Amino acid sequence: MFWLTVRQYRMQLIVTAAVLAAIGVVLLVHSITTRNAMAGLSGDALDQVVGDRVALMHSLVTWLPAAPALVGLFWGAPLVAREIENGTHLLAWTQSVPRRRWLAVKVAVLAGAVTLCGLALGAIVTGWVGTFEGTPFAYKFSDYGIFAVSGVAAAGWWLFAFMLGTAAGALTRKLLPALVVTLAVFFVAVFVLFQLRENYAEPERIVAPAAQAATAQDADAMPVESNWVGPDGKEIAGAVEGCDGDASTYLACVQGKGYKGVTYVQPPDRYWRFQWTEAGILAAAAVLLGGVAYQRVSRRAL
Amino acid sequence: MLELIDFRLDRSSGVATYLQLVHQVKHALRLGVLRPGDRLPTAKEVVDQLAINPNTVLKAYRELEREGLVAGRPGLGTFVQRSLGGASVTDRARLRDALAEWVHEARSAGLDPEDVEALFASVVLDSFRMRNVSGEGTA
Amino acid sequence: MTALTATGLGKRYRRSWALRDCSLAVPAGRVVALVGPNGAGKTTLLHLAVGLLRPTTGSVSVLGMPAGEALSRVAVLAQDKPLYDGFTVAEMLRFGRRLNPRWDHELAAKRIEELKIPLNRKVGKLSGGQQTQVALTVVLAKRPELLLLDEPLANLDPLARHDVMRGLMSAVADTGMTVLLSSHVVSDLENTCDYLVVLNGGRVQVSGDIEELLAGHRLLTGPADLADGVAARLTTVDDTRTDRQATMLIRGEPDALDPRWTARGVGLEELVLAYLRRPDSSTLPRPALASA
Repeated sequence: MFWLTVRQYRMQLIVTAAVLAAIGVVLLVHSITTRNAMAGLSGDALDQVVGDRVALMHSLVTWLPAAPALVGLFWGAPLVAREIENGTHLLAWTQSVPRRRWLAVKVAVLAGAVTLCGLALGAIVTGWVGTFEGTPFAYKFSDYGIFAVSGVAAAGWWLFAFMLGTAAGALTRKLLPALVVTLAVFFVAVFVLFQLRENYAEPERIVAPAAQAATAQDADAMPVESNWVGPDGKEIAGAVEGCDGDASTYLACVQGKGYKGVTYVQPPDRYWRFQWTEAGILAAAAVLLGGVAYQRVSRRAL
Repeated sequence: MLELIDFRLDRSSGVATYLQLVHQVKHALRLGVLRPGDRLPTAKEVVDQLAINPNTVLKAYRELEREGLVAGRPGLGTFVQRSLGGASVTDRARLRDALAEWVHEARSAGLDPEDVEALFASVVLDSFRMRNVSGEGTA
Repeated sequence: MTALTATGLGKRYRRSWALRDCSLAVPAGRVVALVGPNGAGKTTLLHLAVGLLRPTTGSVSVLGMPAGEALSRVAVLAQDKPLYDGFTVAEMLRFGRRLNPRWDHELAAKRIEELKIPLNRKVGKLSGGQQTQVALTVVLAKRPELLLLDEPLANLDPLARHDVMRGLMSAVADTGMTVLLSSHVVSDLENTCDYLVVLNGGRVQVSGDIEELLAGHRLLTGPADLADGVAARLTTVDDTRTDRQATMLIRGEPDALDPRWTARGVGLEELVLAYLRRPDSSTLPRPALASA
């Protein structure tokens, strides 16, 4: 069964490994050259250089969170759907190996491979972001996308997308609908989880004078909510009544009335806790989807 | 091993396949193509050639065995026990000449081939039926 | 010992029944013809027997085990002879070897060599006959006790048909396995099968030893004006009449008939066609169905 799985996924394994290697090389080269460019610089000059260098990779890194969708499409969806569409399930499921084991081995081997690939990507991106440690561009926590493709969350997304594709294929039993379902559900999941992420822990409350309210938290902190708090201790969400004008006169007015800025944030030192939380949620979803596929393949009449 | 007999099937004859095999063995025995001690092809060899059910071959061999013409030796194969057609070669030649003469006479009398065959068949039938009735064995 | 037993087996797809109230016992060691028109439920029956489908009603067991649990002892060659087109022939054999503990690699390698099929050729690039032979090799090397074949000869030229049948029959000669072979072309099955199951409209219409069935039927031809009287006394399967003449397929031996009637034996194809024309006629139920 192991041999069969590898043989049938030869192409996917080769292409994925090659793409990961290419991304790794590009980001490694970028990281090394950036470090060289950063050497001896400080202050605005450093920020200027790093800012330019990060912009260079921006388009690549922005698209990385969509990569798991491809895993869902090319690894997950065909697993059951293509067999049924080609009629080869009649071959695969009538050998001495029971159908349930056929699915279990395939899913286990491929899920393992996909998770390893996700971990590799996570390590690549984590290493790359580390280059900018100490500059305002080390956005591995507050950046929705980079968070999802670094650390262990990357592996979570890859595994989830794979199982999503597998379950969709087992449910629709046709490749094209499976692809559509996989894509749609994946992007809904991205949207939902990116919104949900700030709730993984009780946010930290930071109170600061009105003028510093916007910059009181760490540059990489994940902002959750910002309000004004009056002298009576009550928080208001909108504008402070009776104050207007441009930014500086407004802030002066707010401060004059005794208001302070209150910001709820997730501090960046929660990075790993959040990483494991996200990976855990995705892994749980993957297990659930695996159960759906298993049920569908082993129990349902065709 | 060299095959001594090459079975053929006439799929449109309506004769059961196993009987066709039986007839072909008997025919070969009459013509001397098969002689006592010869080995018949194995069921698998026949099947390989004709693409028929192996049970059919076994059934044909059982029938031949029942008639005492062949005997199966476990592990070795099926072997011819005795020959058919008691008459000697000279007897056969003599009889053939006599028959040819008779057919010639029949033609002169205005019989066409079908008349000749019908007449011949009815004589054969009568002659062998009489033998059966009188209790002489059948062959 | 029966190789396959179905009891009240039924399968419904949405509204319509593909197979209904099917009770059947296929004796072991036979080459069984499963015959019926397209859509008669042949494929459904075979898929139920290997657990690819779950019955709506009744049950089916194979080699004494529930369907789907005997997969290491049963092999099935599905209708379109599915193979992995992107695999080479050698990889296809490796597939069989990896997924079947009883795999006979020597047999598989020898068969492919005898058929002169190149081992490194992609399966998708082989001819239809060669693909069927590879698919047949995969099922034979599994060393099954029961082999199910769904229309194995469809889409093959006459030479390929003969070669496939030859391979199959010689495997039967070697192993004595039970074969259940579906077809809607009866002439494919003459000389190869010794047991007949006719499936029509989702029901089993005929089931029995072919020789017994042929010996147990007669085709009568006689004057039409006497036909009703004859038909009333005998079990007729099929009855076709013109103004003057009647032709009847009857079951059993006709008793004393008016000399104007002639009786003769029937061929397999005639017998099957007669039953298929008359879905209400049936050799069932038969009490000793399970006897071989």
